[in-house]
Amino acid sequence: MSAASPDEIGDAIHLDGIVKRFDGALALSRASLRVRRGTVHGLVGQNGAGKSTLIKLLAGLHQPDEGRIEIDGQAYDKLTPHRVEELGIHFIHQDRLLVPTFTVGEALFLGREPRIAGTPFLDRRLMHRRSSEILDDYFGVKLPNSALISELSTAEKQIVQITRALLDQPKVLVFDEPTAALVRREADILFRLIRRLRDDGVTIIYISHYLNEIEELCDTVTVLRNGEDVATLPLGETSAAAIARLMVARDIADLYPKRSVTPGKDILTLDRLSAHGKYQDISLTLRRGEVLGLTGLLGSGAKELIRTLFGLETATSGQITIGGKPARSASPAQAVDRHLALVPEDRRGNGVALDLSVTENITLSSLKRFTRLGFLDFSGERREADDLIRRLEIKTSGRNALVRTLSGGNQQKVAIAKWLSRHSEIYLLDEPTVGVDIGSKVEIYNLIGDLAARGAGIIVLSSDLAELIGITDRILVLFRGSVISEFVSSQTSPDDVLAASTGSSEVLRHVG
Amino acid sequence: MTSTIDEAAPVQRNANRVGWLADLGTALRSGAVFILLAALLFGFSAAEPAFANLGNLMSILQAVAVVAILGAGVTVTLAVGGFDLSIGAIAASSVMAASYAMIVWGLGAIATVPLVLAFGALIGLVNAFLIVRLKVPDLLATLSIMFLLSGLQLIPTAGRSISAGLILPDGTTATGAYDPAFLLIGRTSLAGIVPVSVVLMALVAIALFVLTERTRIGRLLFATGGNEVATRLAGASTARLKMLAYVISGTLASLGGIVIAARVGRGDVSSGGSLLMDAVAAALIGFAVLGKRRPNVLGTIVGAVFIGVLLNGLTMLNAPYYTQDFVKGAVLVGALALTYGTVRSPSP
Repeated sequence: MSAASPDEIGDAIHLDGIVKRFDGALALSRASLRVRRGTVHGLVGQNGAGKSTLIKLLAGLHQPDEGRIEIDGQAYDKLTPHRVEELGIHFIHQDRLLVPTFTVGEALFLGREPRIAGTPFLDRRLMHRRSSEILDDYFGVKLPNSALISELSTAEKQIVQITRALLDQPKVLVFDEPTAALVRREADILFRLIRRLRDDGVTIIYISHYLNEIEELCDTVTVLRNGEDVATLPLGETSAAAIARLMVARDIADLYPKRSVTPGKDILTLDRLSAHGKYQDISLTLRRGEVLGLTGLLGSGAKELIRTLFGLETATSGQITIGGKPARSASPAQAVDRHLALVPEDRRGNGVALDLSVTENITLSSLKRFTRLGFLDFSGERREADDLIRRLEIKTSGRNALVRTLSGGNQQKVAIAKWLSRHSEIYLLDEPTVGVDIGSKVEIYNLIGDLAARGAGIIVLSSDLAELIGITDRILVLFRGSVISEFVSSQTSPDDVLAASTGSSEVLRHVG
Repeated sequence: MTSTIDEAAPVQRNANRVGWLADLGTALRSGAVFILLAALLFGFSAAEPAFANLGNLMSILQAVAVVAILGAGVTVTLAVGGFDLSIGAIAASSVMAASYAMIVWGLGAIATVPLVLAFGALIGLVNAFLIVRLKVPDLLATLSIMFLLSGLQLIPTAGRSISAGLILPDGTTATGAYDPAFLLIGRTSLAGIVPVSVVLMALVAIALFVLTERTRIGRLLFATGGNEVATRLAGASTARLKMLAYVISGTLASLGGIVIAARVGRGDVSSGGSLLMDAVAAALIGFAVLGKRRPNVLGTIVGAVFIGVLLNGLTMLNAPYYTQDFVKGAVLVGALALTYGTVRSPSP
């Protein structure tokens, strides 16, 4: 940062004493956020702390009940999304979907298509030139303008979103949980981009659950709790642990609660399992009471391996053995019958049915137990739901509440509860804490420990390496479809695992 | 988790303050259709005493029986997150199929009824094949089948309506006739009071209500509509569930066709025109019944009856026939506003 005093630099954004109620419930009570020009400003808080409400107010999607919004020193009364964009403030949302049937070019220029001067025709050449300039310059990637959005990876979709904003030469960019669906290497590219934008004078607001990212990236951080800003600190004077304490107002004595379970018998064995073009010769053994970590970059084959175990893809050769019997599953139904459980990464899309009740979600895979002669045993279902809501401490207004009304962490607990109800024994957890607030994370870690202690075998797939090391016993790293290394979790560090997952020689090529 | 309890506290206080008001609002909303129905019944009886006699009430039910039966099928396809646009065409071509079977082939009621039901089920299977196996979007698949059926039903008779003495395309004259036993389905009443078609409607309503609300299969149908992937990952065969839904829908549509054929006694090429719209309207009005906000069989039946009562009453009060579609549309708009318009804004 330059030597200019704060007053000279000035505020890009100043939200002051914002109060916002929804249906009478207080979402923000005198929250303030002051972001200085040309800085990366972190915004953190648990789910429900008011982050998204604050950002929606800034985006002009809601109006504050009380308080002031100043942009570039000027107060604005009624912001609309359109006005906000005119002021040069752009938002990169984690789940703002691009139209999947559009091409990259169409998506980039949607609503502001350049025309050939004096004609109504689109200037395709100009569109192509401007988009490839930005893509090449900032990301070093080539996305063909004619590629369909639906064909892009999550990371590529995000690049399209950011490029769309950059085409407008924004003054402020707001990133809402941008790394939730990215692997580490992709996140690194994003971080370099953010630093570069800051150096170019763009102001960045960065919202994330990942405190290590905040620590690494931000100049200043504002912590929200219960609708108020409890602290705004320069990063030089604080740490991730201190921020976490401010967020939850209590000590997270042990973020990764470790349970010592003596592993029992083998429950799942893979012998030289291969799927053409996806992974090859994967052998591993999972024992009862064991938590096995699995990690790898996009395309490492780890996801495909999990999908094969659950009958969603087929292996071309090799053996899967469960409890001593060969057990290749051809469908999820078969896998479920073999007591496998899958908690998918895309929780809202694949893990829970948002418009069904908590009870209906919990008993979805164990419904046979609650059926007498084809008829549902409602009281049995109620007991089961109440029991699991209590055991997993699922925060809900009741068992009949729609899952849509629950927070991300509690939705995830419902997704897991479904398999507890099924008495599953082998759990495949794909990024189990993505988009989950820190308090619920610890509860989910505890739950994983409990399951292991009861003799379940658990495979956790995660790209959060600190988490992986914290909660697993062993970690297998996949690289280009093969197990490249194995670590004992208690004797390794995120750096070692990261080096292995990028393939040590590859590190140089990508980063250098 | 002390922090979450702290967080929830302001919400809780607030809930207590406006709690009873909200409760009253919810109760009014879920009972709204029943309250309006009672008001209609009361109002029409006051204005026109003949409205309230048993005969008239039964004729209302008889008038809505076909729509209610088709609506029950619509409810099931809506439950799996699908939509069946072909039901009107299935019903219409079932009228033709039943007439053809009896008049041209000379079959009796005992053979005709199962044959026509099997025809409906088969069309349901074709719909399901297109949607589940070939992944054609449901609206497009059933729309094209609707098109196909309304053309198909004209081919065997070269576009003529079917009645006794029909001259076939090859020049011969059909010798069969409607089986009197078949006509009983549309034209008699049990104990002289309850029309057979109303009994059929009640049986369909009870069977489908039990299936959708009380059985495992019903739960899985709704789960498929709620989130197909999550349901499949939970170990259910969503392909089979969707197939079941379209087969039920097709079979019920052909049952509706049988009732119409038995009432009219001839195979009319133009029968069943407004059935699709009316059945879909009944199912959508049903969303508002009991505040369920999702397809439900009870709601669909109530929705069909509601429209029937309204049209019958207005007719008695000499409202012209051409206002009927307007009235139906207005009721539908009101019901949908009730279902969706009062949804609380999403919490932050």
